[in-house]
Amino acid sequence: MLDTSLLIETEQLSFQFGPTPILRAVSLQVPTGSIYGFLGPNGAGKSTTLRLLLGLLPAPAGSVRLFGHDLGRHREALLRHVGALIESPSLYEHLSGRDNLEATRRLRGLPAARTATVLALVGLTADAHRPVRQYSLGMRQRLSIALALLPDPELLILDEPTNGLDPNGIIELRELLRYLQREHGKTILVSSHLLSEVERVASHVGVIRGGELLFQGSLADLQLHQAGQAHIVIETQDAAACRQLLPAELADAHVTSAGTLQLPFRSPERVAALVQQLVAVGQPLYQIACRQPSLEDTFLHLTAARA
Amino acid sequence: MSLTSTSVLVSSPSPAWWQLLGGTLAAERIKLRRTAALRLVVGFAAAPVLIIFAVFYFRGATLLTPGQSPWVPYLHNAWRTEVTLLLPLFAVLLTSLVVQVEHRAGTWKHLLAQPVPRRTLFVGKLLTVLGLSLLAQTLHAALLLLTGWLLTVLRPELGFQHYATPLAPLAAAVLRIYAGTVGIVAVQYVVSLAWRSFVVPIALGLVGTVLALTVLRIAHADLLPYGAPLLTWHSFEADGPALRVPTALARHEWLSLIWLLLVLLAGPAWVRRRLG
Repeated sequence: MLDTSLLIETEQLSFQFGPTPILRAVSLQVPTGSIYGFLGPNGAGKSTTLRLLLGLLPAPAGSVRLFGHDLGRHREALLRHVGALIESPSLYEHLSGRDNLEATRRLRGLPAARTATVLALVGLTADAHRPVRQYSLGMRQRLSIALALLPDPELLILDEPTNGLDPNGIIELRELLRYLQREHGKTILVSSHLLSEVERVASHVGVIRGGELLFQGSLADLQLHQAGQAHIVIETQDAAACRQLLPAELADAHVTSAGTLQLPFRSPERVAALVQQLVAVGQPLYQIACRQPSLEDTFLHLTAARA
Repeated sequence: MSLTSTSVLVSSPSPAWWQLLGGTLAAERIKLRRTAALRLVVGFAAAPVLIIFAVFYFRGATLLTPGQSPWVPYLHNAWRTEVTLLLPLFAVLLTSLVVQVEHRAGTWKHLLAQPVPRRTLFVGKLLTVLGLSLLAQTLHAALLLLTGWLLTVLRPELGFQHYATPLAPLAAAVLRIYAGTVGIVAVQYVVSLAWRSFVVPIALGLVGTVLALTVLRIAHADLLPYGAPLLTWHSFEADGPALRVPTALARHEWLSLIWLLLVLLAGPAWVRRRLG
């Protein structure tokens, strides 16, 4: 079923290098006009997914749809509306920054004015004449982003674009992504292994680990997900004794230290009842707190290796 | 984005093949700036000419045959120097240098993610190498003419001024030697694309050249493209008063063109498998 609100849609996408599975039935859904943060630890399958989205790898199983069309059937027509930065910057070191852009501009048959426009967007106009071998890592990264922006694409795919950027560069990139989405209606898929890098700009997130998409939805959905992860921490004299005295009430509690119990937060009423029962059986209560994990904790929980 | 506008994306007219190829060639031209490949073209064209010019300037009289145009030994010896070893090695090195521009920069994924057919990218770069090879050989021929005319002034006793400049044989020789080179370029191009290491194509080129020179006179040795330029040189007639270069392509030159055709037909698919 064609969903026109999705700019990128993969269905049960799988991929393997030799006998090793890299992606397992990934169904990515990137809404039109969103900034989609594609998150996962290194080696999770992010770059492989992005390569499949660009037709750089053949998909042995599943399908890729961009703009509602099958990538395999309309690869060149669809890629005319896509700008991409895949993995590390791919630049000709012997050429100037401007010539690097010009080579791609001529290859794609784009208007001459685009080169100056994207150089200004990434703040490299003054250094455009210098050979790329003299560029810092951050400047190379910005030039790579300029290359992705060159065709004024409706869809921008950026693989770890903050690599090599200093804190100011990261802030500027966030501003640029927000500007492109807000003012120009671009859809942006940006991958990262750090939630903190994308949570301030992303409207949607997908979390991948070991080639499996563990979570996908809006940032609000992720926040709801983390609300379900809230837990109560009880500081008492003897945590094990409390469990013995109240086996039914503390069935889902874990003794995390001699005097500490941790159990999932269900409701405020349950907290009140538990406090009453602990006091009733003569156990002292030193402290009780409800703790909600941060987005970062949720991300780490999702991406942590399962025991 | 509505369904209508997404449909427009794929139904909008694609650029014509010649526009795509023109864009690819323009991009390749930019990438060649300040590269060793360009310096190699100039060096290959000029170095052997300077050698033959120096030989004729200092010892030219010993190389002349009475009644024969001095252009004959001048061009014939210059081409021998060129085709015996220099030209195959030049083709091997030039092809590797042009392809290494992408390998070193790690730009294949960037190129292959562009909305340009992979065959066009493949052909565009191959045409660039072939163009540079033609430029080098044309420049080599032009410098031979220039230095020959220079000898009429600097060494009038050699008698260059008494004979017509052999423009027609020179043009035929350049084209036929070039036809003999395209097979080497084509084979080396595929190997250079498929192996990121500089070593593999250079080693293959060296082995191929030495093998071709060793088995040159054996039947079917012309199937190896590396000996084609030398076989072309052998067909030149330099015994008479003037240089004669047959204009028809010989069997080894046709075979060289067939190598090029094979690479054009099968190369993109094979290289795609290697590049991933």
